[in-house]
Amino acid sequence: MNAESVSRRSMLLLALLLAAVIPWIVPNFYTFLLTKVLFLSLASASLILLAGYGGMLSLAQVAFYGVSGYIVAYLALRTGVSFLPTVILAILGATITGALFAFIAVRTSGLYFLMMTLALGQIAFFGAFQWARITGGYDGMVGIPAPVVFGQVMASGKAAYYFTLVPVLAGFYWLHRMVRSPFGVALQGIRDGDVRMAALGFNVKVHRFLAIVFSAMIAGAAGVLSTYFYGMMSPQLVSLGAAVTLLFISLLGGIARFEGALIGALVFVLLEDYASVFTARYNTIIGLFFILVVLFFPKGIAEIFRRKKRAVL
Amino acid sequence: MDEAGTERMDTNTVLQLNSVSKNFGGLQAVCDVQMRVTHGQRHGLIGTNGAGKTTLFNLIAGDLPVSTGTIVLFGTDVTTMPVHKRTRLGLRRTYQTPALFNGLTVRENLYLALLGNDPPMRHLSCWKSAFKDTEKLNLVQSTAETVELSRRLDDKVGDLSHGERKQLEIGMVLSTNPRLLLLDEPAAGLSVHEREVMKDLLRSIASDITLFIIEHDMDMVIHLADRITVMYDGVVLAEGDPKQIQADPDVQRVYLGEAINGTGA
Repeated sequence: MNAESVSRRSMLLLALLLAAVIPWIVPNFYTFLLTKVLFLSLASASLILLAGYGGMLSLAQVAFYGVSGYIVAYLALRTGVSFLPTVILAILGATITGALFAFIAVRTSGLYFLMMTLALGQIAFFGAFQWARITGGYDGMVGIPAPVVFGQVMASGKAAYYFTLVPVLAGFYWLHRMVRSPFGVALQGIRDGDVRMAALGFNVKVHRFLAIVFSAMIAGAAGVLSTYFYGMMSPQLVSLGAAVTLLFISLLGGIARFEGALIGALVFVLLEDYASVFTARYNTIIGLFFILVVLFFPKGIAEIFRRKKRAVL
Repeated sequence: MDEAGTERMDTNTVLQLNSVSKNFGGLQAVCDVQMRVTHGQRHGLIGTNGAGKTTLFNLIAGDLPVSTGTIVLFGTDVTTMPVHKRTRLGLRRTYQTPALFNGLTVRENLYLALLGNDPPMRHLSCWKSAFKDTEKLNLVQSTAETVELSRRLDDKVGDLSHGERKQLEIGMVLSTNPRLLLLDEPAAGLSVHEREVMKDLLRSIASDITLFIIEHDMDMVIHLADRITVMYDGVVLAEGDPKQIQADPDVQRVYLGEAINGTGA
Protein backbone atom coordinates (compact mmCIF):
# COMPACT_ATOMS: atom_id res chain seq x y z
CA MET A 1 0.00 0.00 0.00
CA ASN A 2 1.54 3.32 -1.00
CA ALA A 3 1.57 6.59 0.92
CA GLU A 4 -1.22 8.08 -1.18
CA SER A 5 -3.67 5.28 -0.48
CA VAL A 6 -2.77 5.35 3.24
CA SER A 7 -3.56 9.05 3.40
CA ARG A 8 -6.80 8.47 1.47
CA ARG A 9 -7.76 5.75 3.86
CA SER A 10 -7.11 7.88 6.94
CA MET A 11 -9.04 10.78 5.39
CA LEU A 12 -11.96 8.45 4.80
CA LEU A 13 -11.87 7.15 8.38
CA LEU A 14 -11.77 10.70 9.67
CA ALA A 15 -14.73 11.66 7.50
CA LEU A 16 -16.72 8.63 8.70
CA LEU A 17 -15.91 9.44 12.32
CA LEU A 18 -16.99 13.02 11.78
CA ALA A 19 -20.22 11.88 10.12
CA ALA A 20 -20.91 9.65 13.13
CA VAL A 21 -20.44 12.29 15.83
CA ILE A 22 -21.42 15.53 14.11
CA PRO A 23 -25.04 15.68 15.42
CA TRP A 24 -23.56 15.89 18.95
CA ILE A 25 -21.32 18.82 17.97
CA VAL A 26 -23.41 21.12 15.80
CA PRO A 27 -26.79 22.72 16.68
CA ASN A 28 -29.91 20.73 15.84
CA PHE A 29 -30.68 22.96 12.90
CA TYR A 30 -27.47 21.89 11.17
CA THR A 31 -28.22 18.26 11.88
CA PHE A 32 -31.47 18.87 10.04
CA LEU A 33 -29.62 20.41 7.08
CA LEU A 34 -27.04 17.62 7.02
CA THR A 35 -29.79 15.00 6.90
CA LYS A 36 -31.08 16.74 3.80
CA VAL A 37 -27.55 16.76 2.37
CA LEU A 38 -27.36 13.00 2.89
CA PHE A 39 -30.41 11.92 0.94
CA LEU A 40 -29.89 14.56 -1.75
CA SER A 41 -26.35 13.30 -2.25
CA LEU A 42 -27.63 9.74 -2.65
CA ALA A 43 -30.10 10.94 -5.29
CA SER A 44 -27.29 12.84 -6.99
CA ALA A 45 -25.06 9.76 -6.85
CA SER A 46 -27.75 7.77 -8.69
CA LEU A 47 -27.55 10.38 -11.45
CA ILE A 48 -23.73 10.37 -11.43
CA LEU A 49 -23.74 6.58 -11.88
CA LEU A 50 -25.75 7.03 -15.07
CA ALA A 51 -24.27 10.27 -16.41
CA GLY A 52 -20.68 10.29 -15.14
CA TYR A 53 -19.90 6.59 -15.38
CA GLY A 54 -22.44 5.47 -17.96
CA GLY A 55 -22.58 8.51 -20.25
CA MET A 56 -26.39 8.65 -19.95
CA LEU A 57 -27.57 12.05 -18.77
CA SER A 58 -30.96 11.65 -17.11
CA LEU A 59 -33.82 13.86 -15.97
CA ALA A 60 -35.80 10.81 -14.86
CA GLN A 61 -34.23 10.29 -11.45
CA VAL A 62 -37.06 12.26 -9.81
CA ALA A 63 -39.55 9.79 -11.30
CA PHE A 64 -37.88 6.88 -9.50
CA TYR A 65 -37.55 9.02 -6.40
CA GLY A 66 -41.24 9.92 -6.68
CA VAL A 67 -42.54 6.38 -7.22
CA SER A 68 -40.88 5.13 -4.04
CA GLY A 69 -41.83 8.31 -2.16
CA TYR A 70 -45.51 7.94 -3.06
CA ILE A 71 -45.49 4.24 -2.21
CA VAL A 72 -44.11 5.07 1.25
CA ALA A 73 -46.67 7.84 1.71
CA TYR A 74 -49.58 5.67 0.57
CA LEU A 75 -48.66 2.61 2.61
CA ALA A 76 -47.86 4.63 5.73
CA LEU A 77 -51.02 6.75 5.64
CA ARG A 78 -53.68 4.48 4.13
CA THR A 79 -52.65 0.97 5.17
CA GLY A 80 -51.27 -0.78 8.20
CA VAL A 81 -48.17 -2.09 6.42
CA SER A 82 -45.19 -1.88 8.76
CA PHE A 83 -41.87 -0.18 8.16
CA LEU A 84 -39.70 -2.87 6.60
CA PRO A 85 -42.19 -4.16 3.99
CA THR A 86 -43.04 -0.55 3.16
CA VAL A 87 -39.42 0.22 2.35
CA ILE A 88 -38.97 -2.97 0.37
CA LEU A 89 -42.13 -2.35 -1.69
CA ALA A 90 -41.14 1.28 -2.29
CA ILE A 91 -37.67 0.44 -3.59
CA LEU A 92 -39.10 -2.45 -5.58
CA GLY A 93 -41.60 -0.03 -7.16
CA ALA A 94 -38.82 2.36 -8.19
CA THR A 95 -36.72 -0.53 -9.52
CA ILE A 96 -39.57 -1.93 -11.61
CA THR A 97 -40.29 1.55 -12.97
CA GLY A 98 -36.61 1.77 -13.85
CA ALA A 99 -36.69 -1.61 -15.58
CA LEU A 100 -39.78 -0.76 -17.65
CA PHE A 101 -38.27 2.57 -18.63
CA ALA A 102 -34.86 1.05 -19.39
CA PHE A 103 -36.45 -1.58 -21.62
CA ILE A 104 -37.48 1.20 -24.00
CA ALA A 105 -34.71 3.72 -23.34
CA VAL A 106 -31.67 1.48 -24.05
CA ARG A 107 -32.54 1.72 -27.71
CA THR A 108 -31.55 5.39 -27.65
CA SER A 109 -28.49 7.34 -26.58
CA GLY A 110 -27.25 10.91 -26.19
CA LEU A 111 -29.83 13.65 -26.60
CA TYR A 112 -32.56 11.19 -27.51
CA PHE A 113 -31.97 9.36 -24.25
CA LEU A 114 -32.16 12.67 -22.40
CA MET A 115 -35.50 13.41 -24.08
CA MET A 116 -36.84 9.99 -23.05
CA THR A 117 -35.85 10.66 -19.44
CA LEU A 118 -37.51 14.07 -19.62
CA ALA A 119 -40.68 12.39 -20.87
CA LEU A 120 -40.64 9.88 -18.03
CA GLY A 121 -40.06 12.64 -15.47
CA GLN A 122 -43.03 14.57 -16.85
CA ILE A 123 -45.23 11.46 -16.86
CA ALA A 124 -44.40 10.99 -13.17
CA PHE A 125 -45.13 14.65 -12.42
CA PHE A 126 -48.50 14.75 -14.17
CA GLY A 127 -49.34 11.31 -12.84
CA ALA A 128 -48.77 12.61 -9.33
CA PHE A 129 -51.02 15.56 -10.10
CA GLN A 130 -53.87 13.74 -11.81
CA TRP A 131 -54.12 10.49 -9.91
CA ALA A 132 -55.36 12.37 -6.86
CA ARG A 133 -57.20 9.40 -5.37
CA ILE A 134 -53.85 7.74 -4.69
CA THR A 135 -51.38 10.63 -4.59
CA GLY A 136 -53.44 13.40 -3.03
CA GLY A 137 -53.03 15.50 -6.19
CA TYR A 138 -51.75 19.05 -5.81
CA ASP A 139 -51.76 18.93 -2.00
CA GLY A 140 -49.78 15.74 -1.92
CA MET A 141 -49.84 13.54 1.18
CA VAL A 142 -48.91 14.99 4.54
CA GLY A 143 -48.53 13.73 8.08
CA ILE A 144 -46.53 10.59 7.35
CA PRO A 145 -45.53 9.24 10.77
CA ALA A 146 -41.85 8.83 11.61
CA PRO A 147 -40.62 5.30 10.89
CA VAL A 148 -40.29 2.79 13.72
CA VAL A 149 -37.07 0.79 13.48
CA PHE A 150 -36.36 -1.96 16.04
CA GLY A 151 -39.07 -0.48 18.25
CA GLN A 152 -37.47 2.99 18.17
CA VAL A 153 -39.38 5.94 16.72
CA MET A 154 -37.02 7.88 14.43
CA ALA A 155 -38.62 11.21 15.28
CA SER A 156 -35.92 13.46 16.75
CA GLY A 157 -33.41 15.34 14.62
CA LYS A 158 -30.57 13.05 15.68
CA ALA A 159 -32.58 9.87 15.11
CA ALA A 160 -33.61 11.08 11.64
CA TYR A 161 -29.97 11.85 10.89
CA TYR A 162 -28.76 8.35 11.76
CA PHE A 163 -31.80 6.79 10.11
CA THR A 164 -30.66 8.53 6.90
CA LEU A 165 -26.91 8.17 7.38
CA VAL A 166 -26.80 4.37 7.51
CA PRO A 167 -28.57 3.63 4.21
CA VAL A 168 -26.77 6.49 2.46
CA LEU A 169 -23.39 5.11 3.52
CA ALA A 170 -24.46 1.64 2.41
CA GLY A 171 -25.56 3.08 -0.95
CA PHE A 172 -22.28 4.91 -1.47
CA TYR A 173 -20.30 1.82 -0.50
CA TRP A 174 -22.16 -0.27 -3.06
CA LEU A 175 -21.63 2.38 -5.76
CA HIS A 176 -17.95 2.58 -4.85
CA ARG A 177 -17.61 -1.18 -5.29
CA MET A 178 -19.75 -1.17 -8.41
CA VAL A 179 -17.58 1.21 -10.43
CA ARG A 180 -14.50 -0.88 -9.64
CA SER A 181 -16.20 -4.16 -10.50
CA PRO A 182 -16.18 -5.78 -13.95
CA PHE A 183 -19.64 -4.31 -14.51
CA GLY A 184 -18.49 -0.80 -13.56
CA VAL A 185 -15.29 -0.79 -15.63
CA ALA A 186 -17.29 -2.09 -18.59
CA LEU A 187 -19.93 0.62 -18.04
CA GLN A 188 -17.20 3.26 -18.30
CA GLY A 189 -15.96 1.53 -21.44
CA ILE A 190 -19.45 1.88 -22.91
CA ARG A 191 -19.45 5.56 -21.96
CA ASP A 192 -16.22 6.04 -23.95
CA GLY A 193 -17.12 3.85 -26.93
CA ASP A 194 -20.22 1.69 -27.18
CA VAL A 195 -19.49 0.39 -30.69
CA ARG A 196 -16.05 -0.69 -29.59
CA MET A 197 -17.42 -2.45 -26.51
CA ALA A 198 -19.77 -4.48 -28.71
CA ALA A 199 -16.77 -5.40 -30.86
CA LEU A 200 -15.08 -6.74 -27.71
CA GLY A 201 -18.01 -9.04 -27.00
CA PHE A 202 -20.11 -6.98 -24.59
CA ASN A 203 -23.86 -6.76 -24.82
CA VAL A 204 -24.14 -2.98 -24.54
CA LYS A 205 -27.93 -2.93 -24.20
CA VAL A 206 -27.94 -5.34 -21.27
CA HIS A 207 -25.26 -3.24 -19.60
CA ARG A 208 -27.16 0.00 -20.07
CA PHE A 209 -30.36 -1.68 -18.92
CA LEU A 210 -28.78 -2.82 -15.69
CA ALA A 211 -27.14 0.56 -15.06
CA ILE A 212 -30.54 2.27 -15.34
CA VAL A 213 -32.13 -0.32 -13.05
CA PHE A 214 -29.40 0.10 -10.39
CA SER A 215 -29.66 3.85 -10.68
CA ALA A 216 -33.46 3.69 -10.26
CA MET A 217 -33.02 1.48 -7.21
CA ILE A 218 -30.68 4.01 -5.58
CA ALA A 219 -32.84 6.98 -6.54
CA GLY A 220 -35.74 5.03 -5.05
CA ALA A 221 -33.88 4.59 -1.78
CA ALA A 222 -33.23 8.34 -1.71
CA GLY A 223 -36.96 8.89 -2.29
CA VAL A 224 -37.84 6.73 0.71
CA LEU A 225 -35.46 8.69 2.93
CA SER A 226 -36.73 12.02 1.65
CA THR A 227 -40.38 11.09 2.27
CA TYR A 228 -39.72 10.01 5.86
CA PHE A 229 -37.59 13.12 6.40
CA TYR A 230 -40.20 15.64 5.24
CA GLY A 231 -43.12 13.54 6.51
CA MET A 232 -44.84 14.36 3.25
CA MET A 233 -44.83 13.76 -0.50
CA SER A 234 -45.99 16.21 -3.15
CA PRO A 235 -45.78 16.63 -6.93
CA GLN A 236 -43.28 19.45 -6.34
CA LEU A 237 -40.64 16.82 -5.47
CA VAL A 238 -41.20 15.10 -8.84
CA SER A 239 -41.33 18.26 -10.97
CA LEU A 240 -39.00 19.33 -13.74
CA GLY A 241 -37.65 21.90 -11.27
CA ALA A 242 -36.65 19.09 -8.91
CA ALA A 243 -34.99 17.21 -11.79
CA VAL A 244 -33.01 20.29 -12.73
CA THR A 245 -32.01 20.89 -9.10
CA LEU A 246 -30.63 17.38 -8.95
CA LEU A 247 -28.69 17.92 -12.16
CA PHE A 248 -27.46 21.23 -10.75
CA ILE A 249 -26.24 19.59 -7.52
CA SER A 250 -24.38 16.94 -9.50
CA LEU A 251 -22.74 19.43 -11.85
CA LEU A 252 -21.84 21.73 -8.97
CA GLY A 253 -20.00 18.98 -7.14
CA GLY A 254 -18.66 17.28 -10.25
CA ILE A 255 -20.64 14.77 -12.27
CA ALA A 256 -17.66 12.55 -13.12
CA ARG A 257 -17.26 10.93 -9.71
CA PHE A 258 -19.31 10.13 -6.62
CA GLU A 259 -17.46 12.61 -4.38
CA GLY A 260 -19.19 15.25 -6.47
CA ALA A 261 -22.59 14.16 -5.14
CA LEU A 262 -21.65 14.80 -1.50
CA ILE A 263 -19.86 18.07 -2.19
CA GLY A 264 -22.59 19.31 -4.50
CA ALA A 265 -25.39 18.49 -2.05
CA LEU A 266 -23.51 20.06 0.86
CA VAL A 267 -22.75 23.29 -1.01
CA PHE A 268 -26.27 23.48 -2.42
CA VAL A 269 -28.05 22.99 0.91
CA LEU A 270 -25.82 25.46 2.77
CA LEU A 271 -26.02 27.99 -0.03
CA GLU A 272 -29.79 27.71 -0.22
CA ASP A 273 -30.05 28.16 3.53
CA TYR A 274 -27.71 31.17 3.79
CA ALA A 275 -29.00 32.88 0.68
CA SER A 276 -32.63 32.54 1.74
CA VAL A 277 -31.86 34.42 4.95
CA PHE A 278 -30.84 37.49 2.95
CA THR A 279 -33.31 37.47 0.12
CA ALA A 280 -36.35 35.74 -1.24
CA ARG A 281 -34.56 35.67 -4.60
CA TYR A 282 -32.05 33.18 -3.30
CA ASN A 283 -32.19 31.21 -6.54
CA THR A 284 -30.48 34.15 -8.27
CA ILE A 285 -27.59 33.92 -5.82
CA ILE A 286 -27.36 30.16 -6.32
CA GLY A 287 -27.37 30.72 -10.08
CA LEU A 288 -24.56 33.28 -9.90
CA PHE A 289 -22.55 30.93 -7.75
CA PHE A 290 -23.11 28.17 -10.30
CA ILE A 291 -21.81 30.38 -13.11
CA LEU A 292 -18.66 31.07 -11.10
CA VAL A 293 -18.10 27.37 -10.48
CA VAL A 294 -18.61 26.54 -14.16
CA LEU A 295 -16.18 29.29 -15.18
CA PHE A 296 -13.39 28.36 -12.79
CA PHE A 297 -13.96 24.66 -12.10
CA PRO A 298 -15.81 23.27 -15.10
CA LYS A 299 -15.48 19.75 -13.73
CA GLY A 300 -17.16 20.74 -10.45
CA ILE A 301 -15.97 21.66 -7.00
CA ALA A 302 -14.64 18.14 -6.36
CA GLU A 303 -11.91 18.92 -8.89
CA ILE A 304 -10.26 21.28 -6.38
CA PHE A 305 -9.51 18.35 -4.13
CA ARG A 306 -8.04 16.23 -6.90
CA ARG A 307 -4.49 17.16 -7.74
CA LYS A 308 -3.77 14.16 -9.90
CA LYS A 309 -5.91 12.03 -12.17
CA ARG A 310 -6.46 8.69 -10.55
CA ALA A 311 -7.28 5.45 -12.24
CA VAL A 312 -9.97 3.06 -11.10
CA LEU A 313 -7.71 0.02 -11.35
CA MET B 1 -22.86 -16.24 -60.36
CA ASP B 2 -25.18 -18.56 -58.47
CA GLU B 3 -22.76 -21.47 -58.73
CA ALA B 4 -20.06 -19.36 -57.18
CA GLY B 5 -22.39 -18.40 -54.33
CA THR B 6 -22.98 -21.99 -53.35
CA GLU B 7 -19.35 -22.99 -53.47
CA ARG B 8 -18.70 -25.62 -50.82
CA MET B 9 -17.14 -24.52 -47.53
CA ASP B 10 -14.26 -26.67 -46.44
CA THR B 11 -13.01 -26.68 -42.86
CA ASN B 12 -10.02 -24.65 -43.91
CA THR B 13 -12.19 -21.64 -44.75
CA VAL B 14 -12.35 -19.01 -42.05
CA LEU B 15 -14.41 -16.41 -43.83
CA GLN B 16 -16.54 -16.62 -46.92
CA LEU B 17 -18.42 -13.78 -48.59
CA ASN B 18 -21.17 -14.78 -51.02
CA SER B 19 -22.25 -12.00 -53.41
CA VAL B 20 -22.09 -9.40 -50.65
CA SER B 21 -23.40 -5.93 -51.55
CA LYS B 22 -24.02 -2.77 -49.60
CA ASN B 23 -25.95 0.28 -50.80
CA PHE B 24 -26.15 3.62 -49.06
CA GLY B 25 -29.21 5.04 -50.76
CA GLY B 26 -28.21 5.25 -54.41
CA LEU B 27 -24.51 4.71 -53.74
CA GLN B 28 -23.26 1.17 -54.21
CA ALA B 29 -20.34 1.02 -51.75
CA VAL B 30 -19.74 -2.71 -52.00
CA CYS B 31 -20.94 -4.58 -55.06
CA ASP B 32 -21.34 -8.34 -55.37
CA VAL B 33 -18.14 -9.26 -53.53
CA GLN B 34 -17.20 -12.89 -53.60
CA MET B 35 -14.23 -14.00 -51.56
CA ARG B 36 -12.73 -16.55 -49.25
CA VAL B 37 -10.11 -16.25 -46.51
CA THR B 38 -8.49 -19.48 -45.39
CA HIS B 39 -7.04 -20.52 -42.06
CA GLY B 40 -3.69 -18.98 -41.16
CA GLN B 41 -3.66 -16.73 -44.21
CA ARG B 42 -2.28 -13.18 -44.19
CA HIS B 43 -4.80 -11.70 -46.53
CA GLY B 44 -4.24 -8.13 -47.70
CA LEU B 45 -7.07 -5.91 -48.91
CA ILE B 46 -5.95 -2.92 -50.95
CA GLY B 47 -7.63 -0.34 -53.11
CA THR B 48 -7.96 3.39 -53.65
CA ASN B 49 -9.84 5.64 -51.26
CA GLY B 50 -13.56 4.99 -51.49
CA ALA B 51 -13.05 1.51 -52.92
CA GLY B 52 -15.28 0.07 -50.16
CA LYS B 53 -12.60 -1.66 -48.07
CA THR B 54 -13.65 -0.32 -44.69
CA THR B 55 -17.32 -0.78 -45.58
CA LEU B 56 -16.55 -4.42 -46.31
CA PHE B 57 -14.92 -4.74 -42.86
CA ASN B 58 -17.97 -3.14 -41.26
CA LEU B 59 -20.16 -5.73 -43.00
CA ILE B 60 -17.97 -8.63 -41.87
CA ALA B 61 -17.79 -7.38 -38.28
CA GLY B 62 -21.52 -6.65 -38.21
CA ASP B 63 -21.25 -2.90 -37.62
CA LEU B 64 -23.37 -2.47 -40.77
CA PRO B 65 -26.02 -4.84 -42.15
CA VAL B 66 -25.51 -6.19 -45.68
CA SER B 67 -27.97 -5.15 -48.40
CA THR B 68 -27.78 -8.52 -50.16
CA GLY B 69 -25.60 -11.62 -49.96
CA THR B 70 -24.43 -13.78 -47.07
CA ILE B 71 -21.41 -13.87 -44.78
CA VAL B 72 -20.16 -17.19 -43.43
CA LEU B 73 -17.72 -17.08 -40.53
CA PHE B 74 -16.05 -20.28 -39.29
CA GLY B 75 -18.77 -22.27 -41.04
CA THR B 76 -21.64 -20.33 -39.42
CA ASP B 77 -23.90 -18.02 -41.38
CA VAL B 78 -23.53 -14.74 -39.47
CA THR B 79 -25.30 -12.46 -41.96
CA THR B 80 -27.84 -11.24 -39.40
CA MET B 81 -25.85 -11.93 -36.23
CA PRO B 82 -25.17 -8.93 -33.92
CA VAL B 83 -21.61 -7.69 -33.40
CA HIS B 84 -21.05 -9.11 -29.92
CA LYS B 85 -22.07 -12.62 -31.03
CA ARG B 86 -19.71 -12.57 -34.02
CA THR B 87 -17.00 -11.51 -31.58
CA ARG B 88 -17.78 -14.57 -29.48
CA LEU B 89 -17.01 -16.77 -32.48
CA GLY B 90 -13.44 -15.43 -32.44
CA LEU B 91 -13.60 -12.40 -34.71
CA ARG B 92 -11.81 -9.21 -33.64
CA ARG B 93 -11.21 -5.96 -35.46
CA THR B 94 -9.28 -2.72 -35.19
CA TYR B 95 -10.29 0.62 -36.61
CA GLN B 96 -8.56 3.14 -38.90
CA THR B 97 -8.68 5.64 -36.07
CA PRO B 98 -8.18 3.57 -32.94
CA ALA B 99 -11.45 3.34 -31.03
CA LEU B 100 -10.30 3.13 -27.44
CA PHE B 101 -11.70 4.09 -24.06
CA ASN B 102 -10.09 7.48 -23.50
CA GLY B 103 -11.33 8.01 -19.96
CA LEU B 104 -9.73 4.75 -18.78
CA THR B 105 -6.11 3.70 -18.34
CA VAL B 106 -4.09 1.42 -20.62
CA ARG B 107 -4.49 -1.30 -17.99
CA GLU B 108 -8.27 -0.89 -17.89
CA ASN B 109 -8.49 -0.93 -21.68
CA LEU B 110 -6.55 -4.18 -21.89
CA TYR B 111 -8.59 -5.56 -19.00
CA LEU B 112 -11.85 -4.84 -20.84
CA ALA B 113 -10.61 -6.68 -23.92
CA LEU B 114 -10.06 -9.77 -21.75
CA LEU B 115 -13.31 -9.37 -19.85
CA GLY B 116 -15.19 -9.29 -23.16
CA ASN B 117 -14.02 -12.85 -23.72
CA ASP B 118 -15.52 -14.10 -20.45
CA PRO B 119 -19.00 -15.60 -20.31
CA PRO B 120 -21.56 -12.74 -20.47
CA MET B 121 -22.78 -13.27 -16.90
CA ARG B 122 -19.33 -12.32 -15.62
CA HIS B 123 -19.57 -8.95 -17.35
CA LEU B 124 -22.37 -8.10 -14.95
CA SER B 125 -20.65 -8.88 -11.69
CA CYS B 126 -21.00 -5.67 -9.71
CA TRP B 127 -19.47 -6.38 -6.33
CA LYS B 128 -16.16 -8.18 -6.76
CA SER B 129 -13.28 -5.83 -7.60
CA ALA B 130 -11.90 -6.02 -11.14
CA PHE B 131 -8.67 -4.90 -9.58
CA LYS B 132 -8.20 -8.22 -7.77
CA ASP B 133 -8.53 -10.45 -10.82
CA THR B 134 -4.83 -11.36 -10.80
CA GLU B 135 -5.15 -13.85 -13.63
CA LYS B 136 -6.38 -11.15 -16.00
CA LEU B 137 -4.01 -8.51 -14.67
CA ASN B 138 -1.03 -10.79 -15.28
CA LEU B 139 -2.16 -11.33 -18.84
CA VAL B 140 -2.62 -7.56 -19.18
CA GLN B 141 0.96 -7.10 -18.02
CA SER B 142 2.39 -9.56 -20.54
CA THR B 143 0.29 -8.14 -23.38
CA ALA B 144 1.53 -4.65 -22.51
CA GLU B 145 5.08 -5.94 -22.80
CA THR B 146 4.36 -7.50 -26.21
CA VAL B 147 3.05 -4.20 -27.59
CA GLU B 148 5.72 -2.16 -25.78
CA LEU B 149 3.36 -0.30 -23.48
CA SER B 150 4.30 -1.73 -20.07
CA ARG B 151 5.51 1.66 -18.86
CA ARG B 152 2.23 3.30 -19.80
CA LEU B 153 -0.13 0.94 -17.93
CA ASP B 154 -1.40 3.55 -15.46
CA ASP B 155 -1.74 6.39 -17.95
CA LYS B 156 -5.07 7.51 -19.34
CA VAL B 157 -5.46 6.36 -22.93
CA GLY B 158 -6.50 9.89 -23.89
CA ASP B 159 -2.88 10.93 -23.17
CA LEU B 160 -1.21 8.38 -25.50
CA SER B 161 0.40 9.21 -28.84
CA HIS B 162 -1.19 8.02 -32.06
CA GLY B 163 1.39 5.24 -32.45
CA GLU B 164 0.88 4.04 -28.90
CA ARG B 165 -2.86 3.98 -29.44
CA LYS B 166 -2.39 1.78 -32.51
CA GLN B 167 -0.15 -0.55 -30.50
CA LEU B 168 -2.66 -0.69 -27.68
CA GLU B 169 -5.45 -1.54 -30.08
CA ILE B 170 -3.47 -4.45 -31.51
CA GLY B 171 -2.69 -5.58 -27.95
CA MET B 172 -6.37 -5.49 -27.07
CA VAL B 173 -7.38 -7.73 -29.95
CA LEU B 174 -4.39 -10.06 -29.62
CA SER B 175 -4.81 -10.78 -25.92
CA THR B 176 -8.19 -12.39 -26.51
CA ASN B 177 -6.89 -15.30 -28.64
CA PRO B 178 -8.86 -14.39 -31.74
CA ARG B 179 -9.25 -16.74 -34.71
CA LEU B 180 -9.65 -14.01 -37.29
CA LEU B 181 -8.31 -10.47 -37.02
CA LEU B 182 -9.56 -7.65 -39.21
CA LEU B 183 -6.92 -4.91 -39.14
CA ASP B 184 -7.97 -1.62 -40.72
CA GLU B 185 -4.82 0.26 -41.76
CA PRO B 186 -2.61 -0.68 -38.82
CA ALA B 187 0.24 1.54 -40.08
CA ALA B 188 -1.78 4.63 -41.06
CA GLY B 189 -0.37 7.84 -39.65
CA LEU B 190 2.62 6.19 -37.96
CA SER B 191 6.14 7.62 -37.92
CA VAL B 192 8.95 5.67 -39.59
CA HIS B 193 10.03 4.21 -36.27
CA GLU B 194 6.49 3.35 -35.14
CA ARG B 195 5.93 1.70 -38.51
CA GLU B 196 8.85 -0.67 -37.87
CA VAL B 197 7.50 -1.49 -34.41
CA MET B 198 4.11 -2.23 -35.95
CA LYS B 199 5.60 -4.36 -38.72
CA ASP B 200 7.50 -6.50 -36.20
CA LEU B 201 4.40 -6.74 -34.07
CA LEU B 202 2.27 -7.97 -36.96
CA ARG B 203 4.93 -10.43 -38.06
CA SER B 204 5.10 -11.87 -34.55
CA ILE B 205 1.40 -12.78 -34.51
CA ALA B 206 0.93 -16.54 -34.16
CA SER B 207 0.37 -18.27 -37.49
CA ASP B 208 -2.90 -19.91 -36.46
CA ILE B 209 -4.49 -16.48 -36.16
CA THR B 210 -5.81 -15.52 -39.57
CA LEU B 211 -5.16 -11.90 -40.56
CA PHE B 212 -7.24 -9.84 -42.95
CA ILE B 213 -5.52 -6.48 -43.38
CA ILE B 214 -6.46 -3.23 -45.09
CA GLU B 215 -3.25 -1.31 -45.67
CA HIS B 216 -2.04 1.53 -47.85
CA ASP B 217 1.64 0.97 -47.15
CA MET B 218 2.48 -1.25 -50.13
CA ASP B 219 5.82 -2.22 -48.73
CA MET B 220 4.08 -3.56 -45.64
CA VAL B 221 1.39 -5.43 -47.57
CA ILE B 222 3.84 -7.10 -49.92
CA HIS B 223 6.07 -8.26 -47.09
CA LEU B 224 3.27 -9.39 -44.84
CA ALA B 225 0.52 -10.76 -47.08
CA ASP B 226 0.51 -14.11 -48.81
CA ARG B 227 -2.65 -13.25 -50.71
CA ILE B 228 -4.02 -9.91 -51.83
CA THR B 229 -7.45 -8.75 -52.94
CA VAL B 230 -7.73 -5.47 -54.81
CA MET B 231 -10.96 -3.47 -54.68
CA TYR B 232 -11.99 -0.64 -56.93
CA ASP B 233 -15.29 1.24 -56.78
CA GLY B 234 -16.92 -1.43 -54.63
CA VAL B 235 -15.99 -4.42 -56.80
CA VAL B 236 -13.16 -6.93 -56.54
CA LEU B 237 -10.75 -6.05 -59.32
CA ALA B 238 -8.19 -8.80 -58.82
CA GLU B 239 -7.05 -11.43 -56.38
CA GLY B 240 -3.81 -13.41 -56.16
CA ASP B 241 -0.43 -13.68 -54.47
CA PRO B 242 1.67 -10.51 -54.16
CA LYS B 243 3.64 -11.24 -57.36
CA GLN B 244 0.52 -11.78 -59.44
CA ILE B 245 -1.02 -8.62 -58.09
CA GLN B 246 2.06 -6.55 -58.85
CA ALA B 247 2.06 -7.95 -62.39
CA ASP B 248 -1.67 -7.49 -63.03
CA PRO B 249 -2.16 -4.76 -65.68
CA ASP B 250 -5.59 -3.70 -64.36
CA VAL B 251 -4.20 -3.27 -60.88
CA GLN B 252 -1.21 -1.33 -62.14
CA ARG B 253 -3.48 0.99 -64.02
CA VAL B 254 -5.83 1.89 -61.17
CA TYR B 255 -3.72 1.53 -58.12
CA LEU B 256 -0.20 0.19 -58.19
CA GLY B 257 1.22 2.06 -61.14
CA GLU B 258 2.38 4.97 -59.14
CA ALA B 259 3.83 2.86 -56.33
CA ILE B 260 5.80 0.61 -58.67
CA ASN B 261 7.21 3.51 -60.66
CA GLY B 262 7.95 5.27 -57.42
CA THR B 263 10.14 2.45 -56.10
CA GLY B 264 12.09 2.50 -59.36
CA ALA B 265 11.38 -1.17 -60.12
